[in-house]
Amino acid sequence: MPVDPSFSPYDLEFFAEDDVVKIVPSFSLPTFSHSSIRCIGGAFGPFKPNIPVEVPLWLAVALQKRNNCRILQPDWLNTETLQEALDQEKNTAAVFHRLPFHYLEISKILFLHAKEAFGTDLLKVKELVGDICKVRLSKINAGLQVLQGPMTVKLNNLSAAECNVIRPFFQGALDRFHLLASVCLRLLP
Amino acid sequence: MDDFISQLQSPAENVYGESDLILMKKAYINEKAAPELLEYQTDLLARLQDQVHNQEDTVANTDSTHAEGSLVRAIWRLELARAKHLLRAYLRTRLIKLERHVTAVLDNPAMQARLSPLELQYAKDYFVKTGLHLKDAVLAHMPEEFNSLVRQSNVSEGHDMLSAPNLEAHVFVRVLEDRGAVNLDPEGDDVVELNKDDLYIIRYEPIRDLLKDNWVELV
Repeated sequence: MPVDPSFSPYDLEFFAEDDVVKIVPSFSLPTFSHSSIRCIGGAFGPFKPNIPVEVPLWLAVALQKRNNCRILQPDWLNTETLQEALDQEKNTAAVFHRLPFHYLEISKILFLHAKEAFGTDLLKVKELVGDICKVRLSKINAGLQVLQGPMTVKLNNLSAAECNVIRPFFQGALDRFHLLASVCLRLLP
Repeated sequence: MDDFISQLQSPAENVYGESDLILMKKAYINEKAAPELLEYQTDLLARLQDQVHNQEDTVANTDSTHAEGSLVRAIWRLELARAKHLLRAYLRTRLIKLERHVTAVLDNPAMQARLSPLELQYAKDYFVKTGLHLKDAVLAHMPEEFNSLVRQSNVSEGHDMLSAPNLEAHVFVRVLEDRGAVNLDPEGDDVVELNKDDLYIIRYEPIRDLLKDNWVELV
């Protein structure tokens, strides 16, 4: 029995939480050196009121929950950039547009914990991310249909969640194709 | 747009650099996605466990009576929980794989060398215990020619009943450095071009050494 190499959605969110976002802190740490927090993953900060700083997503969400900061809308997650991405995604059938590897996880976390960051754009942004995801999934499905025989498949710019979705089918099918091909080779030299 | 995307795509290149936690995360992902047991990350594990212990001491010794201390303590605790979760996930994934392939691992000194001393002890204990149970429950009732744990019958040459990992399985792999053309089939000419940031579904066996030497990572 093969070891299941799939990740759970929780795994993927956990991985995504290491990506950095910009926040505006509302606190400072005068008794800590450089007003920053020395953690295992590095010294995060400096935290000074109203001075934007980059921190990992998990830290940003934790601070936001305590009302200690305001998460800023990432540059790739605004209506114009997303609209542009959606258009490109629709116009190119064979290629995937380059998005952050964890774009779905990050936007999900931000939609849940940092609604304020999007202001009045929230619905529009959500809709655009959903549309982009749908267009990409339909492209992936089209790609699956041309899969016939043992091969190496190139999937540049596919995101983590998308890889995970197609993993069971792709791996199963390709493993089987490869097995059949190698049996054929042995039987028909 | 590519400027900030490159920042987001690889946390290793972000302002906080490639910490042991990020390395640990990658080791976990590789371990989980690879069909066989990979090399135990002795140094990385030791460093991270050390850092976790030190951080726990720091947390215990921090005064949390004022707001500042309690905030920082909460964040430290949260990060510690994340680090421990990662360590546990890594070790557990290895144990699951070890249990599945225990006969193949113990049969092969090169594979044994990839285990930590504790894992090796675990593998031996596990093999003895499950082996005794299987002998008791099944093999004792079989004809003598067929009562081996690792051989299909008496006439088998060597151990032919091991649950070995399937190295021909396909994996999702991301290229970390330009590598150029790589031949997937020693006899044929099935060549793929591996350039930085390419993402492939590919058979595990041909890229096994590239993974070991950090040319590629699994996703």
